Amino acid sequence: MRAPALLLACALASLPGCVAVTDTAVHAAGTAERARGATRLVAVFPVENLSGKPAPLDDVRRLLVERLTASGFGVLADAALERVAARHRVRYMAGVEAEFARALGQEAGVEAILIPSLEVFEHASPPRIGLFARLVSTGEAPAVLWVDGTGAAGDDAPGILGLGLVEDSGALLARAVDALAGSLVGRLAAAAGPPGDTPGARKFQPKIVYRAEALDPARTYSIAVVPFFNRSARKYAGEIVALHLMRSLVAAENLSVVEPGIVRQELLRFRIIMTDGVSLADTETILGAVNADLVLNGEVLEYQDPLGPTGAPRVDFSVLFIERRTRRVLYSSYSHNAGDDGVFFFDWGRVNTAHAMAARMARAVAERVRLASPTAELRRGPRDAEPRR
Amino acid sequence: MLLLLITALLGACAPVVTRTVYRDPNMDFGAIQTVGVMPFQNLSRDSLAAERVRDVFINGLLSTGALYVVPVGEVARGVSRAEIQSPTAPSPEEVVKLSGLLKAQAIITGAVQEYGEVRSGPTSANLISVSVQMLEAQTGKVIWTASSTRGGIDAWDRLFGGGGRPMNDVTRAAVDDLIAKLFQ
Repeated sequence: MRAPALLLACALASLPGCVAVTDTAVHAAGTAERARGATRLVAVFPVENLSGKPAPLDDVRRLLVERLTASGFGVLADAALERVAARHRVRYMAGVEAEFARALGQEAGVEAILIPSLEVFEHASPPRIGLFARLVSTGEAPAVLWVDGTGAAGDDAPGILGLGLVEDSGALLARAVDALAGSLVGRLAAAAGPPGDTPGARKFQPKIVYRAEALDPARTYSIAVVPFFNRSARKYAGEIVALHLMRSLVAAENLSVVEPGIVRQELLRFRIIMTDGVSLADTETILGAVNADLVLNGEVLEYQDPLGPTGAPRVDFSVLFIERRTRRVLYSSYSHNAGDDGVFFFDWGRVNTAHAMAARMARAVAERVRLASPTAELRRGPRDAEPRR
Repeated sequence: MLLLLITALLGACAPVVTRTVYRDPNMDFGAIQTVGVMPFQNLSRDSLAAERVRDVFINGLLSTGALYVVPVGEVARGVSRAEIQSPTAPSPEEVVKLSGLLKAQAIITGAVQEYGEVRSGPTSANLISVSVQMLEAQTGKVIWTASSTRGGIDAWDRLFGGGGRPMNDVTRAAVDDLIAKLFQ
């Protein structure tokens, strides 16, 4: 009886080695045909480097362009993109401002802009990669059409005897780009639902939540994401967590997110400098300028990838949604997790990258925001939660 | 007789236990609907301890649904407009001025005394010690204070090791304890 049980255990252990290493769905190749009709010409911006280190940004962009071209999209030539950017004196390419989006549409015939961001790229064994991309429409009112991300480590699915280990960072990068391109093609072909709409695990739920009754799950909200405060040791952690949340919020049907490039433009125009969070006056100014209902702000206290093969990632952040109409906080939560939370046997359920974990934590936050809860609060204070007279 | 003597001796050796909560008996706490939480004073070795604890405290207070907490950005703006020199320890006059700007009925200040790992021989565990006080908006006087210490090395840690509970869990336990003391 022991031998079959051992075989079954071995077979189960080998299964993870067969699954995809990314958290993004790879869509069927047939969807590319339909996608061609949806978008003809795309401008691919230079890759934003959020890794804090030198990274092969040109390789990432080249791979993305190749995948898009292979899927039948037209990609605006670099020279043409540079010409329009130079004409409008645009240097910031990690987001798109309203005028530049309009100019790309009118002068170059571009229908959408792809903005990639590299979160992490580690050559050392096990290699790690974290990559985001978002598609923004051109024209009078640029809108975020799609956001997705992928995070993978070489030891995500080691399988039996480590046969599933990936030690080549280039191979991992190619897989990540494939996954992102597949997600984009599938989304444009309307073959799949928005990315990131699968329910998150319970352990990634925010640990403390406040949700006001006024936050109506049936109402449509537009959200402006302002930069998060980064109090962690990780460079650009504020931008990274904001991207994770944006990705999860865009997946909701009744939530739309204003392109961060437009929010940045307004912050600069009104010379808004936030010293310790967004004030109500800032909220009103920003939301009035971009015509949104909610402002999303927060702070990142920890965003740490494992330092070696044995460490665990750690992510710790809080978020705050303030409504323009009532000038009140509608949602606030505090989340923290480690990659080995709830892991007891054989690394079952372990998360190897901060990207993959933050994606699930952000998804859990978005679920809390958009879902109606029976009470306004997840957790009430002791007794009747009413201060004693 | 001997038993009484032993009891008296043991009692004399025991540490003096003081209450960790003060509550103004004349204050109508039901009238407090909105509070502003000032930056906490950090007396620990961890440079981020005050921000972490304040963040958890604000979220914990909001999550009770009994009090509305003014966003930290608005508090920072108020501190700047009221020209408060030391936001971690405002004077009564500054509290009155700030409360008016924030439209809050009370201001909460706090201090983090201990935050991080403590060691005793080969054993280590995480420890937090935090105190908070609530100041009335109209007069700036203290109407409630409480302190809480959570974590540290217990008998289990001494016997079996393990490093104690994670810092985030210990912080949440201390904040829950403080909020329970506010609403008790």
